[in-house]
Amino acid sequence: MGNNVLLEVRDLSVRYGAVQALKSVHFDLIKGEILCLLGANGAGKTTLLKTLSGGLSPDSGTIRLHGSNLLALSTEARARAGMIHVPEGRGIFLNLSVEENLDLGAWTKRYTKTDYRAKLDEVFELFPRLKERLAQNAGTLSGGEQQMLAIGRAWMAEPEVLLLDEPSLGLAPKLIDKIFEIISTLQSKGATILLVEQNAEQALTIGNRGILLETGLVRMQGSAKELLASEEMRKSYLGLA
Amino acid sequence: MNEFIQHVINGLSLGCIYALVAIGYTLVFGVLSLINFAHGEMVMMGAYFGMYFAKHFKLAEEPGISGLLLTLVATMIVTGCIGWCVEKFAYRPLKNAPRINLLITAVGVSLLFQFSGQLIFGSAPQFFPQLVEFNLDTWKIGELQFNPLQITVLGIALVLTVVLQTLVFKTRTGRGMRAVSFNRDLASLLGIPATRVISLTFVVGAALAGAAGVLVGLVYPKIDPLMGSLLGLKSFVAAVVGGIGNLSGAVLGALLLGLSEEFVVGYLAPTYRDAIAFAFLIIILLWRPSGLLGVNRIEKV
Ligand SMILES: Nc1ncnc2c1ncn2[C@@H]1O[C@H](COP(=O)(O)OP(=O)(O)OP(=O)(O)O)[C@@H](O)[C@H]1O
Ligand SMILES: [Mg+2]
Repeated sequence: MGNNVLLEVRDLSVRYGAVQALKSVHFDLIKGEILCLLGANGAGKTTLLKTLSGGLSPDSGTIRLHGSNLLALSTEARARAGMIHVPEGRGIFLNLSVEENLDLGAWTKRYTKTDYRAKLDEVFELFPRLKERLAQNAGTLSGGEQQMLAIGRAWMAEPEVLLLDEPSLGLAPKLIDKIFEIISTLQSKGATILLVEQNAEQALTIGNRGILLETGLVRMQGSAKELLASEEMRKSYLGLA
Repeated sequence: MNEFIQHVINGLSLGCIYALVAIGYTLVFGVLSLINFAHGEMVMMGAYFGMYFAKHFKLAEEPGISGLLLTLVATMIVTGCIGWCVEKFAYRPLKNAPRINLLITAVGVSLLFQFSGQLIFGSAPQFFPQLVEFNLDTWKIGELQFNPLQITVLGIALVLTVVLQTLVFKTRTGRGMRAVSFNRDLASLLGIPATRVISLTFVVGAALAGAAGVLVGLVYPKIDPLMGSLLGLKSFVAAVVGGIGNLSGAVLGALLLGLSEEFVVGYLAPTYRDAIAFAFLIIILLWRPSGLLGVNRIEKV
């Protein structure tokens, strides 16, 4: 298993002034898996993703991608290294068209015209809706379409690690199912995904493993099955008693 | 009618000069949310460099478009480099500091340039060499007379504006700029090098201001080290009127300002020339608080 570790996080502590948001967080992300990052509001999930992608710097700890130190790299350089973060609230450039957004997704990849076309077609296959909206201003998309665009844009970069922060937030149930289905599809296309979700049960259904964060601490860590079966998870997060 | 058209042309060529400067304000505001007060001084430095360059190579002895273009290109390169330095040494070190520090620094840089301008160039006005033939008889269509100087200025400013629009709206770099200007952190997440984009934005803005300096020198040959402040201020007004952060808005605001100034001078009283800019600002902003083409943008999602 050691060889398959793509991202290695050790003893990561992050604070906002006096607020300690992450306390010695410790986990591995294994190549090809979906790892669900669960926890209540304010548990530190977004903080963890921001720290991984470079928006925040930790007080202590290490982050390694393919064994090399990520903390030495700027946010841009981490994106070039294949760490693509779809932030909370989607992070669409609302002043640009759908096409320009997708194009910016491929910034780190200097695709040839043919490769670019092929990648774009792959995104359209995942989200046919985007193809119809190509010339439209991204600000005029519905919330669901914006989420599709955010994921599609991330896919343009051929991410090595995909960090998804609550992709199902604010979507209708049918669309949530669709987004989870897409995430599974991305995994089958070879992506490694760290998925932050409030829909814990649905996330664990498509996920391989899960981490439960509680006020900045890793409370529980294990296979999706274990977490789904755990008494504590069921009580506090799955609402199944 | 003839007179009217003459005023329109004068107004447009003045407006085009404002536009070149206003574009710089709006671009830098876009990527840094900074009102770059030192921007007007780039125009002054462009005018002085252009003057020394043209004098040194004796370009005024054989006035013509090639000498002018040469001066223009050299000036744009030099002011572009100055713009690069300003960003790198004055603003970049403050990238995590509060906005107000940046603003104060901008005022400081502006004063620094004004005073070093007086020190280096002398505070007495100097005269910009006449790089374009000024022969009123050559350009005539029926009753209409065209001042070749005005037309040249108009043409050059238009070309530069179109080149800039193409850069911003049609190229990869331009997409990067617009992404950074929407949200810098978001742009970094996609691997867009925000620092380089910002630096480039300063270079482009300063190069255009330098070009404006040369054009101002052609139209109003008396140049002095403080010329940048009023011109800069008016162009800033133009950018705000158009909706700061919006490129087409800056051009529109600048053209409107140039035209209204010219009409005030032509039909009302020349003394009100400078007051018009500010009256204009107040009226437009009362009517549309975010400028003509500005939108009330939701800040940082
Ligand atoms: N910029 C900030 N300054 C100070 N405290 C912050 C800041 N951002 C987050 N926090 C605090 O850090 C803790 C973790 O926040 P974080 O956004 O990581 O939670 P989360 O798990 O993503 O929550 P949610 O599910 O609501 O998105 C919270 O207590 C929050 O109040
Ligand atoms: Mg969050």
